[in-house]
Amino acid sequence: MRAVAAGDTNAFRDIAVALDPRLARFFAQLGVPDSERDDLFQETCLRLYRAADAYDPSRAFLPWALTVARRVMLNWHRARKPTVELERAGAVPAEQPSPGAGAEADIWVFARARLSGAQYELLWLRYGEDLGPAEIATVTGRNAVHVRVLLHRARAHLAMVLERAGEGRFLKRGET
Amino acid sequence: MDTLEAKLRQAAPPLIRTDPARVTRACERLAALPATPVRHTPHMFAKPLLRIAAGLVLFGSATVLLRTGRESLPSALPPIASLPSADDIKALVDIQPLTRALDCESDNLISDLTALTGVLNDRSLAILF
Repeated sequence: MRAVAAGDTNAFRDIAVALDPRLARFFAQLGVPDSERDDLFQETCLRLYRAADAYDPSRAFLPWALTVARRVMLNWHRARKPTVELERAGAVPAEQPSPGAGAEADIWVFARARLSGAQYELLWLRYGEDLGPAEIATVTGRNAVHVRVLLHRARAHLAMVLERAGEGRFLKRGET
Repeated sequence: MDTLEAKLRQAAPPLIRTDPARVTRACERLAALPATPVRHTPHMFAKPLLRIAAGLVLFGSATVLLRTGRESLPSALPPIASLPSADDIKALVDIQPLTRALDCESDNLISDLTALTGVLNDRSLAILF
């Protein structure tokens, strides 16, 4: 990133190569169709490149990159539906929505069809991107305690809908 | 490990392969950017001096506001009858979404406290027996 901050665009290529699969999956999971991911990836790279001198090497790179990508994605969501914020969206739009799919087929598809956008995003960042609560707090602009509370609620909500859908085998005994 | 958490981790879609064409397009766009000027390292005293200046400006503006406020206060007060009433203000503010949000948050907090109480009870019983 130091080389990038000095204006070396070739150095950024290695970063872009490493980021491409992560961002493609991140955008896909949060409802960005395939046709739009290219533009969002370019926009994210552009912002990361321009902010290279602001990057603190002592901090992890991925949460910082995901923070930028998330903002780009939110701008894209707002441009499509200016009256619906991600937090208030009933569900994250999926390319092939299958609300009838059982959790056995794909628990993430099941969750995406039944959780709010904000809840799904938090669960994805925690169990898909494997970020800790402090890192998720950085990405989403919240504090770590709030993230822990929201994660607990998101898991509880998912457990409840799983129980109602008769998918209780994913829950251990006594789990709510 | 929690069953649901384990299932979520296991079921996370794997990373796809890097798309070289997409990376190339992104890098080409960056290469087309105009060269940005080199940023000069600020002087070591720049920030403290700026902070002192900002503090003085803040102090000065607060002083001016207090003085002008005292001078203009007696004549600036409108008659009591022309002040907006609480009903007018209430009509301007839509409290419905706020009430619903507070109700929802209240339910969430009750649920959290119930879950926490249950866990504490279980742990206490485990210690005692």
